[in-house]
Order: sequence, then C-alpha cells, then structure tokens
Amino acid sequence: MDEDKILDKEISRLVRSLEKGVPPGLDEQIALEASTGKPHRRRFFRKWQLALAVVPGGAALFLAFFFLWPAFRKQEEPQIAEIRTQFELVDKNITIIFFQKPDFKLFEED
Amino acid sequence: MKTESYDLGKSGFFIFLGEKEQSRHRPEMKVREEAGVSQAIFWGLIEPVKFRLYNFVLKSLNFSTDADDVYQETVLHAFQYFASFRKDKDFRAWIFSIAHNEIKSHFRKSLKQTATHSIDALTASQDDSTGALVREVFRFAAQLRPKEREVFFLYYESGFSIPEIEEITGLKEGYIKLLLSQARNRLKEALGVHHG
Repeated sequence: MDEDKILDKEISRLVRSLEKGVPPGLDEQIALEASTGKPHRRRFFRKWQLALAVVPGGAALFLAFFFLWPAFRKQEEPQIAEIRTQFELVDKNITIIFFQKPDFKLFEED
Repeated sequence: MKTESYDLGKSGFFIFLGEKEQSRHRPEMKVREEAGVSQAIFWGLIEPVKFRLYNFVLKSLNFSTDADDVYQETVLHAFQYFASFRKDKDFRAWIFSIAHNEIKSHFRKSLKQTATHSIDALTASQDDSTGALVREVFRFAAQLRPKEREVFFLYYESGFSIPEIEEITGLKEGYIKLLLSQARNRLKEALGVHHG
C-alpha cells in the first residue's frame, strides 16, 4: 500500500511537471461570449455534421413524398372495358354469352 | 451587506461579499443585479480551478489543438447552467463533470484525428532523466482509451479521490480502482527501468 502511495506521488509529480497555462486571450474571449450570449464557436467538424444531416433529412422527405403522393393524388374513375353477361340453359347444355364493348352503346336510341 | 460562501472542495471556500439589499424596492433592478451577482460568483469560483481544468482537458485530449475549444465549451456550458448548481455541492467536481461530458462529446463527434502537440517537443525543456520519465508516462496515457485516460488524469493531474472520480465520470469505484492499479503496474515497470 505504501509502495502504491509512493508510486502515485511519483506519477503525479511527472504528470504535473508538464503543464500549460490557459492561453492568453482565451479567458477574455470566453467572458465576452458569456456576457454577450453569443452562440459558442462552432468547430469545423460540427459544420460538416450539420451539412451531412441534410442528406438523411432530404432522403426522408423524398421517401415521405414518394409514399404519400398516391394517397393525395386525385383518383381517376375506372374505365369499363367490357361487360360480360352470361346465361346458361342447363337442361339444353347451352351457354349464351353477351359481350358489350365500349363501341357498343347499350342504351342508344335510334 | 450580504455574504455568500461556496465550497470549492480542496481549493477552499470562495466568499462573495455583495450588496443585494439596496434594490429590494425595485424588482426589475433586483433581477438584473442578481444576474450580475450570479455572474460575479461564477467567475470568482472558476478562477482558482481553471488552471487544473485546462490541463485536465489538454491532457485528456492528448495535447490536441482542440483542447482550447473543449475548455471554452466547458466554461460556457458551466456559465449557462450555473443556476442549476447547488451551493452545497463541490464546484470543482461539478465543473469537471461538465468537462468530462464535453470530452466525451468531443470523442463521439470527432470524425478525424486532430493535430496534437508532440510530447517530445513539450518535454524538450526538461532535463534528460525527468524528460524521459515524463515522456514514458504520457506515452502510456496516450495508449489508453479516452475514458481510461480521463480517470488517469483526474487522479494524477487534478488530484481527485476515487469517490470524486466516481461522481464525475459515473464509473463504478471498482472499475476506477482496477484502471489505476493497471496504470501503476504498467508504470512501475517503466519508471523502475528509468530509475535504474
């Protein structure tokens, strides 16, 4: 235990033998920013992070638009291509099928 | 005359002597004056700890050129949240825990390795035997993971006790003891070699 204390003292002495004071002007700059309430100085990588955040944000917007667009789009009325009417005469084993095409006017009067 | 005292931990007590009584009859002036008083108390409290705080940040970041920014963010955040600081708490431990968060945040957000000052250049002014030992200690610290390096410097640079380090970093006491024990074992050998 005593050996540990001696070693701790020695390590502490060596660690503290290399010290730097707060750079001149830094304290004044901090005090100025604190008093004016200006936003903190942004570091370079933070700007990059902000720029990179635009990419997933844009992607999310694109996907939201892509998936929600059909829901908001005005739906076209379905076109009837063909009307099929089928009769079966079971006892005579006959099937009659009427096809009505778009060019066939069902209620057309002469 | 109103007197306020704040616990500075091992640095002692900071006592603020200010006159707050005179503006009792003007509420808006009282608010402004109290904000001013709070600011004065903050700058008074930080003055005796800033040297150790700066060196802790600097060494925890391996003498990175970003240390000034992290130190600045630490002080500004402490200033911003000073209202939440409880008077009965140790100011030194409080501000170091903010520094700890800033360092953690720095390592989390840092995309690239930033420039660092060379240990060899920093120890150039020291005599050969001490310089070699110091280089040995800092080379060892540089190999540690950021969290471990913080514990190492909180103990050996800032002089915090293990329970205080536990409070600052949120790490378990057993883990802190293990880290310090490992550091001792590694350095015992290295320093022993240099001592001859």
